[in-house]
Amino acid sequence: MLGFLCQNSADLCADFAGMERKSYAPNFFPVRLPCLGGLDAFFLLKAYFSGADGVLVLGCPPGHCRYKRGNETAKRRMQVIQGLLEILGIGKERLDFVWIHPSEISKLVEVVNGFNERITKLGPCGFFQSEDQAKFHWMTELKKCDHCYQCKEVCPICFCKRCYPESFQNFGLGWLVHVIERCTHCGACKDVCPQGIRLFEIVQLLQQKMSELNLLPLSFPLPQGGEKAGIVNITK
Amino acid sequence: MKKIGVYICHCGTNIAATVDCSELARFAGTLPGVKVARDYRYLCSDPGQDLIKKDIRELGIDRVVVAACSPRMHEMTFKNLLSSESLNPYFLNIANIREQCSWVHKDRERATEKAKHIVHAAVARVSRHEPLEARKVGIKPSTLIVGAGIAGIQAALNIANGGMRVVLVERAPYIGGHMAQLDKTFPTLDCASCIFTPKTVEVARNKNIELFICSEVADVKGYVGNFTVAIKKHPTYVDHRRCTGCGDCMEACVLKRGVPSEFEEGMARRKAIYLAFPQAVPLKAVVDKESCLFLSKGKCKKTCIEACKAEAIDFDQKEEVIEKEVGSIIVATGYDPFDPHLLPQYGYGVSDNIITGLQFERLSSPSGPNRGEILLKDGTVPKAIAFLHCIGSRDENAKLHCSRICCMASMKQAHLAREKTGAEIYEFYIDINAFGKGYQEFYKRVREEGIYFIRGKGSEIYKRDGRLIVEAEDTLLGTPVEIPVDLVVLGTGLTARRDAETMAQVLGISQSADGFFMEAHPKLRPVSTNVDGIFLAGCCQGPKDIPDTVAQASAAAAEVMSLVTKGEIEVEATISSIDPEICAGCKLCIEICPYSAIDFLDIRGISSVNEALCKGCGACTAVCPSKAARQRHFTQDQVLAEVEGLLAV
Repeated sequence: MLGFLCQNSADLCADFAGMERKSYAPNFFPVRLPCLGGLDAFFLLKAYFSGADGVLVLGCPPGHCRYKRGNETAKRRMQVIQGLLEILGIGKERLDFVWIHPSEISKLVEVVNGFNERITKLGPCGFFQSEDQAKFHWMTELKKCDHCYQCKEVCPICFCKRCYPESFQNFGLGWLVHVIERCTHCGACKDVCPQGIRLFEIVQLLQQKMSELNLLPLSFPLPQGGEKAGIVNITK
Repeated sequence: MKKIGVYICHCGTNIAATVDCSELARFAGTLPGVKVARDYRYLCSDPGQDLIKKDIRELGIDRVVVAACSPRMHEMTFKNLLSSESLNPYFLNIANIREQCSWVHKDRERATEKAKHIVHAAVARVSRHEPLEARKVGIKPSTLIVGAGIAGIQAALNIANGGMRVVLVERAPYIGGHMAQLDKTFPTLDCASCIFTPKTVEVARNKNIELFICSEVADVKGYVGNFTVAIKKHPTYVDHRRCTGCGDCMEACVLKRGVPSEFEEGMARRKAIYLAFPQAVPLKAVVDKESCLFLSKGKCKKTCIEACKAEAIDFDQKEEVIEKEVGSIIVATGYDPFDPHLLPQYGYGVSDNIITGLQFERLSSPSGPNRGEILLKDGTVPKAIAFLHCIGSRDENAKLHCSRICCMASMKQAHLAREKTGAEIYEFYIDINAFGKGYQEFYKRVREEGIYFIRGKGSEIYKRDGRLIVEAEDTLLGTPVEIPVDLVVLGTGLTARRDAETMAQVLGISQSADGFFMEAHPKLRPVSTNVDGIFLAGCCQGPKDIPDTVAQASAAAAEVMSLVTKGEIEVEATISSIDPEICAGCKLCIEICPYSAIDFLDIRGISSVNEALCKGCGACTAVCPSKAARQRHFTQDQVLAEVEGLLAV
């Protein structure tokens, strides 16, 4: 179990829990962030790809964010990512988002232990057990990736200086998520894969599925009713 | 190749009891890039620090991981150590294996396992740390103090007498807060106004103090050293530069019966235009919008305007918002007395002659409604009085905390009542909390004065044959008792202000479970908050008696003065930047930034971070689709490495 903790609320609360010697499940590993507004979708995916069975995101209650509205942004982003987790066959119940006030020590303990129970019941995290896999076989296909990075080389929108998906065990999947909201359907990746992964089709499929579920843009979920700007228009 | 040194602290037995430190050090030594891994009893001690210094010098260690307590405790200590050895302080990483590991887990094997993961993550992260320069910002020399009770006044005087500017904001029309309402103070029985009035007068006279009454803090922006505060000044409908405080307007006000006076806790009535009390500072009349016939109903002969020789009354006054620039803030907003209506078994507000502790203070005060005589509602002298402790405190159905002052206040009031009326006095208590200097002696003295102490919490008050019956269980005798009395004084507890949550949100500080504002550390930083530059004084942090409040206020003043004297402060270097070569100019970051700290450079078609405004929340990094925005010290690379390390098998 991995936890992303806001340093102004949940992480402080975890320190207080220590001072009061309030015990919780020892398989809970905390990561401290300045604000959950900076919690990248990538950090979460990385957690699942590195073997986490569940991720708990703990931030300050509404109105208490030291950076005005980072907690609310994070909450909306988590909802979107839960949708993505469903598509990836990980399951949205493996991600939970809870408001924790620094003084809510017993709540923290309850939340961690409760989540631990849930995750223990769910068992180890698997990517390839959903219906989608049966339908599209794309997860199995992505497994074939042998990290040659050809797709990255030809992709016109891959312009990061350092490639983050490279550090993923499943590079293909990381790459997909990284480009999903920006892909222009140019088709350059169609025939480059030596393993024969049908990347172009998978990108289209994933994009279609995500927009069906209203999950795009992934990194910038706008408030409900808010005007969709920026990335969506670019994609179109 | 980086040379990483890993140092595991035993913290006496705090860590070593649950985590196998030597095994942890052995494990750390096997991690990539680790040159040396050691464990030591107390790393924060001088010999512990020397150990690290020696390795830096002799082994050329250039990255340091300290696995110890929370970074909130000693991050600064070790950052300073690195600086003193000419290493960049950001080449340090603290692995929290105490608060978030050894203290919360009991199974030694599993705790050690978790500690290994934490250390692994810290090592993976530290090797990716980049050198950063702390930024320095100037400190504005003036201070905002919210609330002018004894805490606010003490802090204001301390700072102002040190030659620095103070902006003192008070919601009421007078300064002094609850202390101004008290009759005498325990245990010395000093008259509260005699020791207090000189201070309030000094505040009004001090040139360094700018006082805003009938005002509230509406908004706080900025950070330590550079806060911009918006003060909302409610209209008083009296020009205070002209008002002489003569009181003619009060006489002239046509509101016949008046309304209950807030200052007198409803024991007396006041007019719509009024002076709170004769010794009020500043002694200026104010108009209460709610009860003024002209302002609420629009029809009044406005006799007050005729009566005012100074021509000070001005019904056209409007609410003003004043902006002030300050470097630090002291919160001294005080407390609300517990509302005994919430515990109906005590009959408060139902039967006459059941009053709260503060109402008793007014009754007993020589400047109060009865000129200090303790009389019942019908004007007779009570023959028996009951004092009930812990009303609303130490009560599962009300507030769980002990309000600390009520035992002493009740005993002081019992002493005064005994002295003034000769009545039989009963004190109903659970435990006597006589914690301060001279308090236990005072308790003994009061006991010897023939006051009956009944160990048992009053459970119910009702009327029988024209007298009030207090029911309780005497836990020493083990029998229920029913005591008939004429007057009941409820020792109401201290609670957080009703609007404490709003205030906390405006300031960005936290509250404890009991609603009071939370200090940065319960023992070692009881005056600071989790926001740098904002300090706490008095009962807004928790129930306190006057000496403790004054001490904390002076401590807060000292904190402020040490900031101001330093003149500048280092702020975190962990802000964002945008790589101009990657940025596509989608402007998503501009939209998400809560501080409008990102500008769009039209000519180049890219976004750029204004470093002076950036607070380092990282929101822009998460939305950036091409990851051009990165937050220093929390880059994707670093966090991903940490995640990977935590989950490494």
